[in-house]
Amino acid sequence: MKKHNSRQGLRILKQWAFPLITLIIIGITTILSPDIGHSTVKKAGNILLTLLPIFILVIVIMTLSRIFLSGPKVKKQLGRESGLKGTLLSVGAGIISTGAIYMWYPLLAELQQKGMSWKNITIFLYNRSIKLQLLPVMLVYFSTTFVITLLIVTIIISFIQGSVLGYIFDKSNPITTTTQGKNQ
Amino acid sequence: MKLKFEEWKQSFKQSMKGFYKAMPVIIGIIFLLSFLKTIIPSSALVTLFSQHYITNTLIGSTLGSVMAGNPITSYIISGELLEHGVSLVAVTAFIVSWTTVGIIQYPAERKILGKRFALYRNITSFLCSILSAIITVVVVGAL
Repeated sequence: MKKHNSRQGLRILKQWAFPLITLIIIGITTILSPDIGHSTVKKAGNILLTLLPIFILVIVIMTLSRIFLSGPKVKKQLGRESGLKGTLLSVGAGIISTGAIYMWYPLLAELQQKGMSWKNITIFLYNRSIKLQLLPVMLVYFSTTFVITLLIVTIIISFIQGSVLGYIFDKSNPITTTTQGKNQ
Repeated sequence: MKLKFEEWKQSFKQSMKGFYKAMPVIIGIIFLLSFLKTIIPSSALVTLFSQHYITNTLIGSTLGSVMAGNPITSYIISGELLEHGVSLVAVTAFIVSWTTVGIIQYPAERKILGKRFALYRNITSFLCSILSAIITVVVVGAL
């Protein structure tokens, strides 16, 4: 029993090591310069507030996908054999997805377990660089020709990257545990 | 098909569980990002660029890979970089890598999607950001 508790404790410590180390570094810097700590916490608070709607959105999508998107369905629409349809779906989903990229990782891992190909995951992630709602802001700094060209080039490059990573990973094992990545 | 409340509850619980496991690393990333944004002002980034065309492109892609946040910030910084004479290829590589490569987010991607995939994806995205930049600028120049 004691061994089990200490193993569990170690596991929890390992899980929280990264944020704890980060907070310790911030804490030490704050002692030297309180303004830095204050500003960091304020910025972190703002990020968390911005992420909250995305977190809710992703949880809703994950809940719905668990119920309505069965493995065969995901495999058919987004799997290795989905072809151009799956590719275009991934491009579209990447473009319309909002918020921080790391908020989407749990959903992608879950879809991958259900059969989404690594190729389509890659394409989704690369096309996240296209933000249609931010195009007006881009046009302030860059010409229309540049923006349109960059959009088209981004989509084409995503196909290339997706094909390369799909070739490497779609033949090997899928994720067996969503948060361990041990098989990778 | 009517779904029972229990099915919805179970599905919601499992989704939350999936997110809960990722929470520590996501919290770490948020604080790390906030800290870096505090200690490194955007204006300091201009000083990192040199006069050499190829070096600038690599610097642009590297900087974009390390930085994260709202892409609007990358556009604003790009405007400043262009004003200071940094090449359009370097600036384009910067804005593309900002959203496609994630050094700061790497711990989360590695944990959730797997070490090998995260590594390969980020490396290829870095190279693709340079390729995207070169192709875009060449095409725009030709038009």
